[in-house]
Amino acid sequence: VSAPVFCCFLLLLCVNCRSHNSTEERKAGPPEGARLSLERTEYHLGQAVQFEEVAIQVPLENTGGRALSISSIEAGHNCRAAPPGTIEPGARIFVEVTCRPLTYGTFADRLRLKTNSTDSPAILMITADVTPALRLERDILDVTLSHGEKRTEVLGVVGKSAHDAKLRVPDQAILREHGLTLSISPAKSRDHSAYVEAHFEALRAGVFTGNLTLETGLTEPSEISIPYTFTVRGTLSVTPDTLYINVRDPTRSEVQVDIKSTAPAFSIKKLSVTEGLFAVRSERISAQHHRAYVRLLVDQVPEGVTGSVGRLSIQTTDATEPEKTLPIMAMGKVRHELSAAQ
Amino acid sequence: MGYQSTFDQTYVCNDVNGTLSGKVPIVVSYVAAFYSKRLGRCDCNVNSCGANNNLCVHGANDIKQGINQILDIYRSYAQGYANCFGTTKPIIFEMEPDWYQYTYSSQTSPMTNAQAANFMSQFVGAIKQYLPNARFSMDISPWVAPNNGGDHGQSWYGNFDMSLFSFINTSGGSTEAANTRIRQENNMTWAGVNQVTGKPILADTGYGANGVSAGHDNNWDNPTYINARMNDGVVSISQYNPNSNWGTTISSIRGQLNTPRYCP
Repeated sequence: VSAPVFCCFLLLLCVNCRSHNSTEERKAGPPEGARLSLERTEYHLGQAVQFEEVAIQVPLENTGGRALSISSIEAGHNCRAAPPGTIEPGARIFVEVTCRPLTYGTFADRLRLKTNSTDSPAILMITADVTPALRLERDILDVTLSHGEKRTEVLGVVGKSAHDAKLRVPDQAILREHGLTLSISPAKSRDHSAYVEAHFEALRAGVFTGNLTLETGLTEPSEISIPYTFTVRGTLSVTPDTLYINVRDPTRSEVQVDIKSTAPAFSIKKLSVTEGLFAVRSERISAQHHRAYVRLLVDQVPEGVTGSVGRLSIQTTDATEPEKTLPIMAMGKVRHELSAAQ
Repeated sequence: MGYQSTFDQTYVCNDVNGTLSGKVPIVVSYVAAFYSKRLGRCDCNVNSCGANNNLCVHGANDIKQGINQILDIYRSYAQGYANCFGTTKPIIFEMEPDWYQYTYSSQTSPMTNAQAANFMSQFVGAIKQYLPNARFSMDISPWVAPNNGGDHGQSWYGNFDMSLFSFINTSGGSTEAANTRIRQENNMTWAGVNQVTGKPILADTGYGANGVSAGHDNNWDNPTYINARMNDGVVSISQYNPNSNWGTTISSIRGQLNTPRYCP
């Protein structure tokens, strides 16, 4: 850009600025339409307790030249407020916002005020620091044991309602399958609430996840829970963990599985395809190492079908994991003429 | 999946049982994120829900305390698919895009890696309860620590029971066909994450922040780039908003493509 042109451009900008400022000055005073003015767009309630109501008064002002109509106030699941109807020009009213935090920790809920103001909807954030009514003191139970080991973890119960809770363990069938049982120990003194004991027993190798859930005897929360990850180390190793068969690549039409164990007198009891149109064969590499080969029964898959899934069951003498199941995926569209040519 | 708190995707079954018969459906499962969104949160890069009222700030706390409700939603969708699609045909679930964001320090109550892994395993378990033949794909966030994806997810995926997953997938669109990196600004490479996880990659493109369409991504029509990415472990590409002649394009380049390491 040459110097003269650049100067002209600057000049034009300045003229425009001056002209804009003059227009603004002429329009001083309330705007013609309704205008909602909020003193603040965020209100902090301070400390609150989970499931207990807190109310605040929020000022709303109409700084416009016409009546402000508030048609609705939408909130999340934790707060509510009734729309006040109409606010006359220059008037200021208060709306009561009531919040009942359903979760603990940092609380934030949003109110959307729909009005006839040009900048509708207005957004109002309500925040608070919420202490729990009742919770288990830990965030997760993450336990790793070797096969056959046992361990008990003690969990305290904290929160404002801790002393009122009558803890009870619901059906434990799934937990028992994972090698867990729960029991409740009574409070040790008036200053303590009941304790939960989680008993882990490493019955078989694998990773077991779920939630330990307790009934509380309270209206809210009626249950509390904590996630658990229970890892049991075994002596069996199977790789890979997912079997991929490439239908369109003859060099990959059979997939190899290595089955190894450090258990004494290791052997394969049974290898079988429990689902899907697949076949399996195996060979013994060494005393502690067997190798299986899985292939898709291409001629049994309908022409044109894309993708086929199945399952391989491996039963061994390894006591830490007597049966292991692997998913099988055959990928690619089956074309019988291609298979025949190969 | 997860826009509602109960199953609402019969249309997927109608398509796969009808005009798309023989195809394998892939369902993006955003159940935990939608749960938090129903509590009033926006996606991390969206401000319309109010200042800091987004999944990167409150998402983890919402999910941790709503885990039982979220698992119920998973069960509802799984049961719905079992009823209308059956339990024997394959179906793939791409699990919780941007799951990594719930461990951010910006969260009011960030998930630990152990929690993130635990919840993910529980989500998979809830689906498998009704769909034993479902297959699962774990999300790729190419910026995971350490060093902005520098270890290709070795540390992050090491927290998870990856035997539950048959695939890994990108999310958020804008993945790069012409680059060894998944996105130029991150250090994770296509080949790196494939080697670390041992899983084939489902790639996506053609959209940006908050799902806004970015149009057809022509680089994913280039056989040279596609072959390079297949060699890196990519087995699938989804264009969010493809050109109307994409089918013709695919047909015309098919003969120039190598056989993938895994075959879609």
